[in-house]
Amino acid sequence: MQVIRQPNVYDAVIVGSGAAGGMTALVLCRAGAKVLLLEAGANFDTAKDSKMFMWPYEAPLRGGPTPKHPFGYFDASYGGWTVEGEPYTTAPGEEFLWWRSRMLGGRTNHWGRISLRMGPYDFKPRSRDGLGFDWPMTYDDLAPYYDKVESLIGVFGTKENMENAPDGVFMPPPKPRCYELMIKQACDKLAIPCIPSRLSIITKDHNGRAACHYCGQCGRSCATASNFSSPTVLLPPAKATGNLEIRTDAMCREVLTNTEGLATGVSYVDRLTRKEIQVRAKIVVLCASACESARLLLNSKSSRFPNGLANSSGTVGKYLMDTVGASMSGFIPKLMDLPPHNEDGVGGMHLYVPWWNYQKKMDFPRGYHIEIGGGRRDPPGTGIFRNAHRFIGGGYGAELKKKYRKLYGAFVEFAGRGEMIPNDNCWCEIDPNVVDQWGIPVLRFHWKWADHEILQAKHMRETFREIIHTMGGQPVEAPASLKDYGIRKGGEIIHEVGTTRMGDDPTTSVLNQHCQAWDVKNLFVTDGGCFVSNADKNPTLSIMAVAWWAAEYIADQVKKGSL
Amino acid sequence: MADDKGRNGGIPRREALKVLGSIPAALTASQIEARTADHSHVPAAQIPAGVKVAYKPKFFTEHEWKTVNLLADTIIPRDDRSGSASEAGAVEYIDEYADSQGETLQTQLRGGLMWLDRECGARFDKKFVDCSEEQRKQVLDLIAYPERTKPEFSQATAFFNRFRDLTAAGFYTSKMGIGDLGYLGNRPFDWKGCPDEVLAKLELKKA
Repeated sequence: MQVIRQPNVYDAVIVGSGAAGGMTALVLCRAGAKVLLLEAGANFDTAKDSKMFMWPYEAPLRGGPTPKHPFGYFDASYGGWTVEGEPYTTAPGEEFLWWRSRMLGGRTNHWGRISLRMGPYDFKPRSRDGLGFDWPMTYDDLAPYYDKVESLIGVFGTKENMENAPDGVFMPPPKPRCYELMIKQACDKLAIPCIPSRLSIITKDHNGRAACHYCGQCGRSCATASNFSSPTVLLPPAKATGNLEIRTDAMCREVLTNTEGLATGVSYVDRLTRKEIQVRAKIVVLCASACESARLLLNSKSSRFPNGLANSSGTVGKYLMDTVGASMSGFIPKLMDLPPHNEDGVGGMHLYVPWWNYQKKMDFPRGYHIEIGGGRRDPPGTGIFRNAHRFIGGGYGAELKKKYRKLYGAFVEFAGRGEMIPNDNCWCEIDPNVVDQWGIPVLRFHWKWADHEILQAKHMRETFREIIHTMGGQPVEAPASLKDYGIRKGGEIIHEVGTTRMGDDPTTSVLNQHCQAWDVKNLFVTDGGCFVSNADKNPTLSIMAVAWWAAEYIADQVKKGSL
Repeated sequence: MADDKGRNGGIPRREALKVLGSIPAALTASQIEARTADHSHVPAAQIPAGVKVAYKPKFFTEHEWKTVNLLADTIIPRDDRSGSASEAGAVEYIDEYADSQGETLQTQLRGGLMWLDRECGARFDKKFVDCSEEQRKQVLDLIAYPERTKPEFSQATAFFNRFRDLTAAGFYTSKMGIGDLGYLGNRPFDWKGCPDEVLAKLELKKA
């Protein structure tokens, strides 16, 4: 195949346009660098492409989930658990799910907007309990960057002075929904904290973006940019500098290097023409998502780097982590027959439960927070009243119709999101036999939860049952007992991190504390791959804070002439 | 409408959205009005007659289609608040959903409909659609109450649970069904917290 070699040398090429890529691009462009941003997926224009305000009956199959749209038709994701022509494999007998959004802004278009800071303990977990690894930075190092990110994107929340769930720069939170107040009442009785959630949804006008209009549809992407996504919040100011060039449908194959072992650019496939294009840059930053960036490094083999680029430690692809997830619904009779009211609210919970047992000795390490849902939120979906016969005994006819009306809005949902400990059984590598439609070797995943995580899922479900019972409700239990307490599959929570981790020691980590590859000084990975642990704080906010910290370091090193 | 008042200088929220050019381009102002109109009470009489005549089932055979329509309307019939499952288009949803699915669901549905005809044939020498209402009730009562179903009817009960769920999915995601439930959202709204009357009913303090 003919390879098109473009002579222009950019100051930096960034692979990926999501939370990490958008943030890295913004900081570098503002520092004056000429940046080329490559996105593997299609363009996405939130104002035009959002499915905000569509009704289920206006959508195929009433907007319900399909293999092409696993989260339903309205979900702002081009991609999902599968991407046509781009497989991944798992080791025999093991399961791992990998969500990819092939679109400008990646998964920031549909994400849950949960924006929790990691706390002081989260950066030094091994020092505290002897498990996993410590970060080569402290909370105090990153705190100023959390401040900057929150000030830029807009996050609501409240000052709570919790030791390991640090307060941020917050906008006022929305008031709790009715069922959330009931949950809080039950939590109060159980001495479990239930406080305003922290989401990157703006409750006041902010930097030219309109305040939230409370339609609850953040996952569809917001046509008024009232929540955070990379294409609405990071890329416009980056473009405004005049320093940013964006190319979509650019599927990266490998990082190019020279005889001195420095990165010289990347080679990508233009998906529309299937042509191979090589672009040159002084600095290469990978922000393709933890696993995709690891894949790129492993596929960037040369005689100098036979095990893949930046992999002299052999840790590229290792220490893959996701979040521990388990959930439960509850039927709450008291919520039946409420007067109709609109409680769509923001596109997520207004209250949540931060981890409360962090000073107690539990039978599992670390902890989890609880995300809550329920009530009359969102237009009814195709899952409505599924298995309702378990509550109402079945039936049909006018009587059933009356029962459905009573049941509507009378359910609450709890989802635990907890920290896993990195282990040697969870990792990814290049599958020796399989390539994608671009001829790029694909990832093969290995996954096995340890007892730590399974016991945590058990505790989650016990807590949910207790809260539901305290609300006078009935947990919705599966007919048969769940395997491993219903812990979700690896990857299913879509919080993969750790595959190119940072550290103090080049022999056990891929990157230094500034996301700079130990082996290749002008190569950086600023996405979730750099994570050393995966606290129960959803990773996106921390990805952006770390990306800002790393990008500032890059700009500084260039200024000093070290790069 | 109070809900549409913005909190920034009193600009109606809907206007603010328009000014920002933020509504998806495909939506005109009148479409937004229509989409955000009150769906709480759609009179059943307004459903245009004969809408379904043009629909050609993708998955079900002609005979099955008659059975599906009758069965769905038996599960969710018209009452004083809203129309029936077929009037809401729930049966078209079931057909399209079945068509989109793999063999497991398709066979369960096809086999379940066959079971109805066989059971009606054995008892009354008629197909399900040709039975009287009372005869149909006798057969459905065998499978409609999972807690007291007899072991020999367990598969038919599983079919009926599934069909009931699909009917509910189709009905309550329709314009008619959404109105029936009194869902009031999917529009710009000025959220001010749980309404007083709901707080009172739940015996909760104001947040």
